[in-house]
Parts: sequence; C-alpha cells; structure tokens
Amino acid sequence: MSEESITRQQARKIGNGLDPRAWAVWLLAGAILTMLTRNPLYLLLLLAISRTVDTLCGNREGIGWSLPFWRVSAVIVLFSVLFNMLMAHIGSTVLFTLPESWWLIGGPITLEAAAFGFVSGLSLITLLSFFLAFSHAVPPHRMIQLVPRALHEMGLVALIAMTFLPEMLQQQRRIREAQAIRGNQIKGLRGWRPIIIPLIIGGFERSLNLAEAMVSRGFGATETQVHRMVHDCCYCWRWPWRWLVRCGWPGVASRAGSLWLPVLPFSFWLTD
Amino acid sequence: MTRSEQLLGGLLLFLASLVGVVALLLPFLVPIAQTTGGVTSTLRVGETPLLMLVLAVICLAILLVEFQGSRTNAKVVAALGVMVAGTAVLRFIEVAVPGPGGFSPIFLPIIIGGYVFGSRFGFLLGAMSILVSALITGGVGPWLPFQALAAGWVGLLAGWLPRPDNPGLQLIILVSYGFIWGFLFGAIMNLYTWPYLAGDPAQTWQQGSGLITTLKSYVAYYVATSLVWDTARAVGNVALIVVLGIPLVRALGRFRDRLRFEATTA
Repeated sequence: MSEESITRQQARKIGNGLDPRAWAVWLLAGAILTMLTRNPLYLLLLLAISRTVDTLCGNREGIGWSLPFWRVSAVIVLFSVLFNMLMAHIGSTVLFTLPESWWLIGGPITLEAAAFGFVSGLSLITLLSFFLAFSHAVPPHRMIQLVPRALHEMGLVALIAMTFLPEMLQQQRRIREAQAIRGNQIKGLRGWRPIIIPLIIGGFERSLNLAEAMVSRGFGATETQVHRMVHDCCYCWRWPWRWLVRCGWPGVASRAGSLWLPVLPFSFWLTD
Repeated sequence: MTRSEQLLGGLLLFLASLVGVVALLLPFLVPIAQTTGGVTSTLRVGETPLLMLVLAVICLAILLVEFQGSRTNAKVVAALGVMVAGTAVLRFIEVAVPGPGGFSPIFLPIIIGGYVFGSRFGFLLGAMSILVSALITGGVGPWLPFQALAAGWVGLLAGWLPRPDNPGLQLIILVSYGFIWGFLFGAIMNLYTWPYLAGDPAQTWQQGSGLITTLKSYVAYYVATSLVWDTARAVGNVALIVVLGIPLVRALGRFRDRLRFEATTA
C-alpha cells in the first residue's frame, strides 16, 4: 500500500509544481493530436496516456463532484455507434436491412458505419479525457494565471468572483436561517424569492464597497489622470528645484538619488 | 467616445460574431462549398472540429477584449465579479443537485443582467459566468468556448430587448425570450459535437452529399439527443422568470444608475 501511495504522492507533487503554462501546452498537444487522427490505435494510446496522467497527477480534493468518466464515455460511444449505424449506409458488410420507406434511417445497416461511429466516439472521449486531466491537475487559481495580459480585467473579474463565491454561499445560508426564524419556509420556486432578492442586493452593495476600495488604490486611473498627477508633482517641485540649481547645488546630488539625503546638511557648507 | 469609434466598435463586434457563427456552422458550410463551386475540399480528416474550436476561441477573445473596453470602470468590474459569483453559485447547486434534463438556473441572472444593464454587461456576464463556473466545477472541456459564446449571446441579445414600462409586458417579453433560448442554446451546443458524431463532412460518408442531407441528419440528431433536454431547459427558464423575473429586474434597476455614476476630473 505504502509504496503505491508514495509514488502517487510524488507524481502529484510533480504535477502541482509544473507551471500552468506547461500544462496548457500538454493539453494543446494532446487535444490537437486527438483531433487530427482517426487511427483507433493512436486514439486508444492517447486515451491511456491522459487517463494515466489524470489518476497520477490529478488532485481531486476540494472538488465535491467529478464527472463519472467511464460511464459518460460508455454512453457517448454507444450513442455514436447507434447513430452512425442508423444514419450512414455505407460499406459492403451488411448486417441487416431496415425497410427503405422508414424516413432517414431506412436502408442497409453496415458494420463499416458501426466502426466509423466507434472511432468518432473514441476521439470525442479522448478529447474529453485530456481536458478532464488538465482540469484535475491545475488548480483553478493557477488556471487564471493563464489569462493573457489583454484580458487582464476579465481575469480580475474571475478572481473577484472566485473570492466572493464562498462568501456568497455563506450569505445565502445566513439569509435562509433568518427567513426560517421569521417562519418563512421554502415551498416551491416562489419560496426562493425572499432568499435570492436579498442575496443579490447584498452582493451589489458589497460590490460597490469593493469598487470604492479599488478606486482608492488607483485602479482604473486613466493615462491622462496619471499624466496630470505627474505634471502636478513636477509643477510643485519646479520652484525649489530651480532654486537649488540656481544656488549651484552640487550636481552629484541630482545624479545619485539615494546619496543626496545624507549629503544635504553638507551641501550648504560645500557651496558656501 | 466619438461617433467613428462607436461605428468601428460595432463593425468589430459584427465581424467577430460572424467569425463565431461561421465556426459553428462550419459542418454545414463545407458541403455547400463542395457542391457549388466545384471546390475540392482541402480540409483533411479531423480538421473541421479543430478549425471550429480555433475560430470559436478567436471569436470569444475578440469579443471579450472589445466588450471589456479601453476605459476601465471599477464599479462595473466589481459588479460583474459579484454577478458572476452569484451565477456560479447557481451552477454549483445545479451540478450538486441535477435538475430535470437540461434545466439550468444560470440563464435567469444572465438574461435579467443583460436586460437591465445592457448588452455589453450581458455578454461579459454570460461568458464569464460560464468560464468561472467551469473552473470551479471542473467543467473545463472542448465545449467551453462554444458554451461561453452562446451564453454571452444570451446576455447580449437580452440587452437589445424592448423595455416597456408595463411590468406585465416586460414579463411576457422576458418569458418568451427565455423560452426561445432554451431551445436555441441546445441547438448551438449540439453543433459542436456534431462533426464528431456525424462524421467529418470533408471526408466521410457525407462527401458530396450536399446541404440538404446534412440538415436532415442534423434534425434527426437534434431530436434524438436534445429535444427532451431542451424542453426541460425552456420550461425551467419560463418558470424561473415568471417567479423571479420582475422582482429581480426591479432590484437590479436600483443599481443601474449607481453603476453609471462616475466622477471625472476635468
């Protein structure tokens, strides 16, 4: 037991240590390969690779629900095979024939169509498997690091949302308790109204507070505003600066920024 | 914002949406190109879904950048964050306690948000809600860009709905909008799995079969896979909007002016 669990832990550690960008490249490589091939052997190999990576590096703690992969896959492949058998009447290996008069599905049912459906279903579940492995291996807050600079604000929105999420869940519980104390019971859809409306209003009130906090920390300061600030600073510093220059203040001070404070007391002595 | 900038923005939006529509309709466009111009398809096996995915990602990125805008407003960012969190909570509940069929409560805030705060907010709300809730529930998949686009369009078009003063009329408009999107969302999301299940139109049993055959089999596919699901989604949307729609519109309306308010330094 111990040996197996140790290797799994080690693999998970390696997976967590990887940069999310590395995971994204891995995902892209796997997904593109899956999409470009229709060779069932390659697809099965890719499926095996992604499943192995998922079981070894996937971190399932904290996720309450995860997709029952094999069950979903079975349904997808089965559906794909049946759909293609009924809709595609290609190939020469006829299994049996449906009457031609049946709309759309009438015609010979062939083994080739079934094989085609199987490969299609296989490529779909392989793709699914790669994405599942990716989402298990990379924690959400690191996925947000993948957001490109151009979408910085949308990344911020996502971050705010993820931060607010637990608080919202708590708030919802609090409102429910408060309503229960007042004797309001949730009966049907209508019962949700006194919970959802306060939740939304409370959320918006907090969002306005958050916006104030953001603005006070300089968020959304436009370029012209910054320029103006710099200009104002320069303007108010201009007179003392000129005065200093006119006094023949040592040029050293202006060049070595950090040196000038200790030099200051002596500067008058030096210039005198 | 000057008039020309507005026009340019509109044009960009139009082009980006066109890219998205082309991406989704690619399985139908390839047979047309094959049958009409005598164009021999240069697409190899498996390239249609790849092309669709790449186009959808590009379209989504352009729309997000365009809607996010160059001028940042802290209040809009914060409000979006909170609304997205609320929608993600609903998605969380949906995943934990699955409703009947394709029923999903997330369309209610997206529709109402777009309706009250306008199409820009609506698009961002829809797309970001899908993206964030996918991160949280582990629903990251190849369907994600399509889902985000479709949900964004739900919010975008909700912003263009007429706003009569009469709450009864408002309710009728919102309810029918939710009902239509229940089916439309399913039809759009089906398009993404379509080239896998029905085969690549470039080089399969469908080669040279033309648009009509493709459309016919798509209808069969739609009826087989999602008609029941989509009906549940549409009915769920209607029920949620009837019960919560107008109170939500009123509650959000109170914040509309406060979000727009902005102090500028002259």
